[in-house]
Amino acid sequence: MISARMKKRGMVWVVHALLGLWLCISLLPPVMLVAASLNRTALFRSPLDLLTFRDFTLENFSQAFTRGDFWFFFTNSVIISASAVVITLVVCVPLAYGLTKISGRAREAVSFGVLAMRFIPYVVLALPLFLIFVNLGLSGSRLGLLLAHLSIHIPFATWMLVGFFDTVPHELEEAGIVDGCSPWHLFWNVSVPVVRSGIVALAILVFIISWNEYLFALFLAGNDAQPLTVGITRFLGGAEAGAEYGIIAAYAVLVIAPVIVFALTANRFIVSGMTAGAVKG
Amino acid sequence: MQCCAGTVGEWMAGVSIQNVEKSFGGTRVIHGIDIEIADGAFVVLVGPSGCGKSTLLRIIAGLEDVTSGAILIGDTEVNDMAPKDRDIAMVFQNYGLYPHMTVAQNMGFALKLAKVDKAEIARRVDHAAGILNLSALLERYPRQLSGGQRQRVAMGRAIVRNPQVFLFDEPLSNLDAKLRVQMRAEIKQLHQRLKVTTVYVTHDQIEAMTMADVIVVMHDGVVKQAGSPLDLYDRPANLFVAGFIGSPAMNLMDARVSSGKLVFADGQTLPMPDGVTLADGDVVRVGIRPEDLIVAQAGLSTRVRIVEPTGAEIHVGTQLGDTPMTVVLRERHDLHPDQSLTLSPLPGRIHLFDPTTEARLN
Repeated sequence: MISARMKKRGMVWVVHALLGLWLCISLLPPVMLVAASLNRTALFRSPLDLLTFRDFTLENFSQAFTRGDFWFFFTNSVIISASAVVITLVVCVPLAYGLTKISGRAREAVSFGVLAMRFIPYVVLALPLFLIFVNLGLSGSRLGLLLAHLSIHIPFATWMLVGFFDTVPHELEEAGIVDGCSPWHLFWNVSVPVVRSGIVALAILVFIISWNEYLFALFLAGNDAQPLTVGITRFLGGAEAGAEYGIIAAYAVLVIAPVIVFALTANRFIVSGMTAGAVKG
Repeated sequence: MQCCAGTVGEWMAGVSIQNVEKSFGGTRVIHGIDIEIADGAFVVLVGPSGCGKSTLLRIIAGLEDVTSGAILIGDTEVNDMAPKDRDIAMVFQNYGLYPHMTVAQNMGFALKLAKVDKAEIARRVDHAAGILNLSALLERYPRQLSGGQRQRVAMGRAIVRNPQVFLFDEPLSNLDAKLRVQMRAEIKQLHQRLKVTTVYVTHDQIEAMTMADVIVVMHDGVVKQAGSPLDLYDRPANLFVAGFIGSPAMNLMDARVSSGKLVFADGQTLPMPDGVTLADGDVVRVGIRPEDLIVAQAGLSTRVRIVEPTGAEIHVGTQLGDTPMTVVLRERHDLHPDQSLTLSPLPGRIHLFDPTTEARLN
């Protein structure tokens, strides 16, 4: 009995040690990024050396702000990512709910169609979208880039949300019907609150995907709609590129900070086990 | 008629089910059922899985349409009425509580949808919570409640609406045995207090026997018998009801009529019950309840297979020839497997059925 318990404890230690190692490996790049952004020189220095902060400076951040047109790119990123979240949810939540209410072949066909959109590597879409947007006069506009993002988000989000709505117990809606819910009430007051956590998680995902998107931005953003991911490349390349590593690092920190803040804020709305107690499990 | 303010049960009404048929696609699951449920009665629909009892309840609730026939609540035909307009309240097997709402919000939701005044909602929720001992739990969420408490909230949600009819769809089947007995008593007391017409679906015949004013036994989409629990127990109208009602189940054995006696397969005989005339050579199915057999000097000689003392009584599994037969004895006997035991039915407690039509003969 004791040996079994000790064995179990030993296993727990091993698992914790492995998780700790994994955490260190995962955290190393972002930690290095922050360290590099706070040192005057970053090139050719070992990680441990950087973490001594022997030439600590905030100069890189001020450079990133002033030389990098930071606020221009930031505004584009915020507008595109936030609009992508709002539009994706407004379109996909009712769409997915509707899909769970139709049955049989119609549902399978629509679901497969939506999923099939996910089969296409989206780099393939960049050129045709570029040509279409040029014809429509959307090339180089935020709206064009937003539409390109939505072409990725909508199939993905619909597919996820159908899965969420499928978990809403049938009895819950029937209880709603007996209580006097209209179809709108069933959707808005019964089903949506139950899958709220999933919707929030999805919103975070959509925001992160849009915020980090680079390829469409490179092809379709022109000069006026470039987001932060494209903006950062201004410091890459060129003769003096080596000297700019600190600024690139500072810029990168500024790029990832908002998405972390957003994710942490939204995370508070994710309540695990939302359906617990609704019906007998 | 929408539910409205006033004491609970003010708007009682009976339910009339008239020649109702229901098909799903080409499969007919309910074959022309007629049931009259009196004002304030507690009616239990009971039967094995797939007999159509839950479908019938859902038809009364308006969650399913009828294929033909009519449903009347009070004097109003409700076939084409939405569930919310039928003035019914339903308690679901799996509770069906809204997980994002507190107990109070769950209970008041229907009233809120009906745009009842907030103070009135609070008053009625408080009143129902008082009846169900939920007053201390009103601000909790369903996930913070035990199974029994959740079931009570589901009942509270029904009570606050002051419906004309309560519908219960196997409400206790998810509870453990002890809680089930307790909730059974609570539901019965609730009905005695509110006197609202209640239709209750269960597959558990003990639940049916203990709670009902009237039991409707269903099988394969038809009503096999409807009546008071003791009527069904004492005079089952057919083999199905005989086998379904009563626990342990009634012993059913084939016998042949010969010279005014019932002759079993192994040659043993019992006298023919009074009031039945059968010709020699007729084959009948003889039903004797386990509790209607006593240990006697003369009667049917059986062999003991298994002895199960429950404390208050002893369940003895015996063998009459090749036919298994169960006996419930209230007196204590020192019994062992393989010993012989002579059993005699109590007078007037033999049920005879036609093996072909399955109908009662005596």
